[in-house]
Amino acid sequence: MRLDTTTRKTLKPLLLMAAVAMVFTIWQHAAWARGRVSLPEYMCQALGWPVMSAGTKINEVIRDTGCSVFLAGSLAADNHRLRQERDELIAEKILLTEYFRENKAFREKLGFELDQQVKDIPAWIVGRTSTSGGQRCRIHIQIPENREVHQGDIVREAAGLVGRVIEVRGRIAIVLLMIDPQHGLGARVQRSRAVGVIKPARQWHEGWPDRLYMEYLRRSADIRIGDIIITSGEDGIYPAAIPIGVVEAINVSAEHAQTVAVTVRPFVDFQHLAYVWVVPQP
Amino acid sequence: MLWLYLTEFALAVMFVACQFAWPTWLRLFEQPPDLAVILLVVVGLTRGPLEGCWAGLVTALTVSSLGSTPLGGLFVSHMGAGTTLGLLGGRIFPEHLPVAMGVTATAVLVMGVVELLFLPPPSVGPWLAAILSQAVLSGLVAAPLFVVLRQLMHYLLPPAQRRV
Repeated sequence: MRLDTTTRKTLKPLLLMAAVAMVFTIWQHAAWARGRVSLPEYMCQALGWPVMSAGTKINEVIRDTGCSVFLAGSLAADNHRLRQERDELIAEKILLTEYFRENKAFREKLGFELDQQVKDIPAWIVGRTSTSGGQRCRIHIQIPENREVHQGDIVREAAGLVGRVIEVRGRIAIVLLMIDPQHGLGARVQRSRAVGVIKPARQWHEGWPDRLYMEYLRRSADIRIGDIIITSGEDGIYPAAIPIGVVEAINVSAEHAQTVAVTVRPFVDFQHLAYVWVVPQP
Repeated sequence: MLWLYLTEFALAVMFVACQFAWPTWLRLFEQPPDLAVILLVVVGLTRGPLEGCWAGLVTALTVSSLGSTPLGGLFVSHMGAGTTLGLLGGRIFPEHLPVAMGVTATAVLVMGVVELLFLPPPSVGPWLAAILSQAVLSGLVAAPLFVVLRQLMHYLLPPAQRRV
């Protein structure tokens, strides 16, 4: 079969581009295997990340302006309510400080090693990676100029755990969120101390797409709807006692007679995250 | 024509970066619209298979770089879609907005299925819901972008090649 001149003219560059694509793919895999990024990726990131940062900033301005316009009428009432809440929180904080000091004194008397005080690093979210199938749920955070973040550092918000840093490239760090399918961690029920494993919900009945699923709890475990779930510290990745979420439903299946699983509503609203704290690991 | 290819690369970087920074309150089922596919559709339908394939190459590279996703499946889906749309350009009526919206939604679905072969999702039900919502949203967003991009493509061409 003979190809005409026009087809041949088009076919040559198409084949060339396919060859370039193949080279780029091999280059990427080779670079990833060494824990690096390939040059074409690096160039795209250098061009794309500033645009992502600018885009996120513009989004925030639009959202804040919109909120101000639509909520203008209820601002006074909100202000009054927030002042009340602030006063209550201040009182609670004083009480907690008292408990903390008491706890510290007990730990010292018992000879327990005291946790070192580390300064958390505030970071701003500049991008999100979420594939349509939920294969990837990650965020890109921008690290302040004078601070350093490392792979494995814990990322949290005031409300609770967000995830952990899996990659650092210059001033941008990639964070694996708790709702990423590749994520898992040891957790415990705060009230009864029952332990299990937290994974993101993958099915409708588990609470997909914004819920977590706690598995491998013993059937006899004391667990109730409304119980608080915290990190257990037994997985060697996360320190203990970081709040994760609250039990929303208890699922008992005939297939797994020895265990019970629960749907957990995370404290962190992953859809509306704007800022996070990076907790450096000692 | 080099500057035209460079412009397409710059547009790909801008569109993909905007896709990842898309506001959460404007997402459907937590999915942003696939702006990279919208660019592919416009370039493919208006410029032909060669430019469509190039747009596929640069959008796949940018999506992979900014999203830390393996390149293989992205190249196959994006370059395949760009080339196919380029070949279809003369047969379907790209000047009609509903056609462009429909083509965008279909392209998102087809490319999603192709990428599924390379990177299978944890479960099919949620994936299907997410890909359908992304297709619908991409189709809707394609309407204004298609008008703007088509004009831009028109003015980027040398005067002799412009369609009246």
